[in-house]
Amino acid sequence: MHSLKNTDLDNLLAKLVEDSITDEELAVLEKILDGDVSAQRRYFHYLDLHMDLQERVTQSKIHLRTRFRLSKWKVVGVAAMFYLWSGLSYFAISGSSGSKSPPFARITGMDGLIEWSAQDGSIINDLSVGDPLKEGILEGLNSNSWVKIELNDGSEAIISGVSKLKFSQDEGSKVLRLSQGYLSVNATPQPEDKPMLVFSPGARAEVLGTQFNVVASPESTRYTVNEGLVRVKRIDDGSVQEVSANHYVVAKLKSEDEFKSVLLKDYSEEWKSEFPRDARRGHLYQPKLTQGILAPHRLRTKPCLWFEKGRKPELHFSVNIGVSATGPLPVRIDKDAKFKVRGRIDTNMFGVDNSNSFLVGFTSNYAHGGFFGKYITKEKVDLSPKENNDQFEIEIPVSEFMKVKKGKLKDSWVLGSSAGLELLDIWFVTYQNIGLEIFDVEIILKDE
Amino acid sequence: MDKTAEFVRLWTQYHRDIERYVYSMIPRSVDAAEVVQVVSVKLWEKWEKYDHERPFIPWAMRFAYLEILKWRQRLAREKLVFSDELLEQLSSTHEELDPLMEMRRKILGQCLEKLNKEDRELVRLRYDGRHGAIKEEAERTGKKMHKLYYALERIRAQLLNCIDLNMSKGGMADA
Repeated sequence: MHSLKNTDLDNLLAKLVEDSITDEELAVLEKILDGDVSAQRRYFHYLDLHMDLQERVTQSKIHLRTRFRLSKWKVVGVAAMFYLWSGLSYFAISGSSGSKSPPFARITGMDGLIEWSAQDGSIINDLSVGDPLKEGILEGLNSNSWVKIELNDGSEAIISGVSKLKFSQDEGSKVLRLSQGYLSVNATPQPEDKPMLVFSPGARAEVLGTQFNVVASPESTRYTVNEGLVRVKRIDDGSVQEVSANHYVVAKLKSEDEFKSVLLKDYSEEWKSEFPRDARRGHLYQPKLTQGILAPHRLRTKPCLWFEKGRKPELHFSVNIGVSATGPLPVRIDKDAKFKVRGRIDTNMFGVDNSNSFLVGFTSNYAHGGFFGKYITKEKVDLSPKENNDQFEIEIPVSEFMKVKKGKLKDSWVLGSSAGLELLDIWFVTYQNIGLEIFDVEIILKDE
Repeated sequence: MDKTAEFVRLWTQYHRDIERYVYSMIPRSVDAAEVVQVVSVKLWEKWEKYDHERPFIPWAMRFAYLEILKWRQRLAREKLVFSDELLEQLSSTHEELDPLMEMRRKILGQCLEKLNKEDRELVRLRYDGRHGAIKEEAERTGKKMHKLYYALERIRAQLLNCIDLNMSKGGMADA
């Protein structure tokens, strides 16, 4: 292929991988690729290179000396000595791939399918409590997944639901990168010049010792601080907020919203979902009514593989709805609360056993604290489908939800009150594709 | 081995290859991730019919290709998708290239070593998954953002040339 053409193609491919290609440029790319095997090869090699670099860097296969700030080099010998020392410490901790470095963290609790990708590229998904972890990536793969780790300085981090957390050490600072999902951190006091660093979509935070929770979506991150102080920087414009106890801040990508720490003045015991705001997993759509008018959003289950200890993996269908995770006020569970759920089951999709039951679960946090646990119940919907267009409305008292208790071979559900806890999210799971759609969920305190 | 355990093992081992394939046909990461999810479900549904004497990857790729076509049909009105004809051509080129891809990935490691420190740092910043890192770097160094992106384009071309050269030396050029 002629090198000039190669340059044009590379230019378009660079825009493609950077997500900045226009419709017109894509049409040009299509024209170049059409019928030209040589250009198609370049296309595949370019995209493969892009993905390979992504994988290598994520798994830290590109080892680089950490950067020193030039200005500090100018601050005579003391600073130089300090950097020399910190550089040596860095290599002592991260070490070469063959060295016996101490574990970065240890698993202290877990449930559901958790996957760990080590720096050498190996992937492990049969983790157990007590397993030591070096630097790497932890992923929760289902709504029922959670894992708690204790870092080597005594700090604790928990991810819950579908979440991805990379943890490492850089110049003596602990570095946590949450690309999606939920993270709760209880950080022990960190050295002032080496704060714990938390990166997430749209934000970067510095932590010196505190309890805080992070909810990350692809476009934004919400930091809620329960104790201490977290310094959060919005990446887009570099603005910084000091978030103190009982405050939260939301950093969005490409948004002109005000970036300001907000006092968690109060909490609510009643709540109603709002889509798309609260849709965290599932297929969100708006059915068409007559004359092109759209109905309110509905959230339809999406397929997932569901792993539970003591059982074989099963194909399930699920949605996840944010409560305190996405709403403006924390929602606290009252002992008399009820979940009122409106939705629809597609009876045309019923499987062999005409299943019309589903699991409902929720994630809870301590009030003003971190992750507490998951609760679950099974609901059967008595449908008179043809009379009501397959729609249903049910009320589930919160007292019907059972706590998931860990067992060595198998988990069990036990009675356990969730009153007073903060409700983070709710999920619905079906064993078969019964086309479950959720219109809305309400938490009510009285019969209506 | 238990059939379910075997599925989990094979999926864990090869899902990144499927991801790469889907991404190369649907170069929008959000959509590609969605299609990969559907592919995993389809494979699981059809697992009973899988002939364990045959390799997993080609079997899985066939489902992936069908899902890509379905995705294409759903979004046919949008401009940001390739035509069916081009997808077919790409699929056949991919089949031809596939045996050499693993070797190229291995060579990439050597080629990265040859980059200068500044270029490697830029690659690390771009690919460490943190949004805004290039912008921060531009602010820190006083360089223009578009210049950093041009530099990345140049580095990618350099890496591709290095890989091509090494492949040719080893008698494994694909052209």
